[in-house]
Amino acid sequence: MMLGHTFRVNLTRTHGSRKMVLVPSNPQLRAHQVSSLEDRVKVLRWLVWLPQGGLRDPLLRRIGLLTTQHCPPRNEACELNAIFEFVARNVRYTGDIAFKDTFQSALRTLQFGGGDCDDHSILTATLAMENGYQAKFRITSNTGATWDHIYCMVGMASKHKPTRWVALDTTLGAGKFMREPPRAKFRDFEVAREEDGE
Amino acid sequence: MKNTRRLYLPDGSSFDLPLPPGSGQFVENPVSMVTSGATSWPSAPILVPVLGGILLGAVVTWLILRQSR
Repeated sequence: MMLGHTFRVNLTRTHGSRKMVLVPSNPQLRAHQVSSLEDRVKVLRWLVWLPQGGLRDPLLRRIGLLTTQHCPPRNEACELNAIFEFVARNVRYTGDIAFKDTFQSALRTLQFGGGDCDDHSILTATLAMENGYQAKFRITSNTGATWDHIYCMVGMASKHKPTRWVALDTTLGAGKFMREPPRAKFRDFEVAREEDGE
Repeated sequence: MKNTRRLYLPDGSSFDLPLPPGSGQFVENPVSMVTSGATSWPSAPILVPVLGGILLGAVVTWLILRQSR
């Protein structure tokens, strides 16, 4: 199976299967001020909601549904475990570019095959939301003095009004669905506020 | 370098995700990658006390010079 990336959505049929051909956008290296948790979350939200390479890109919807296609309908545990394993197995945890705090869209992280905890969180939240789940970013502190880590929390029991939130920290590696690393304190930020990210 | 990346699904199947053209320069061409401005130039929380200090210093110097005349 071959998936493509597009900007102007060009749908063609190749060998009986639908193929998306994507025309990449112009190169860009954008600089953002990230001096607080709120600023960081604003950039992360913006990347989750991107029209190209983010939640509003049909290609990401396609990848999100491919990831969970083997699960019985409405089986939340199977779907979220599938998203966790897909990200954990295909995206290696790695650091940012030296001396830079970088953030990648969900598509970029899949293309690069690596990313740090910010990039894992953006990708996991995007794929969960493509499957109809609500997501949060959980930012944690190891010692209580600094903010050190981030991962995705996804709502279960009801897609519209979740009553239970589970951790998808894909940086821990495969087989660790719903596990949370030890932490001194944390803060949660909802992802589903598109207007903040625009 | 291949211009696709194979991704493996939890059910054992896989698909190829195309990389942008010219993937030899892929890392130098990062669409949708953003960097924190904090490492590129001073951020506002740093600039405010620095500029404030310079301004205050100039005022104090001007006052001292004015007194000494």
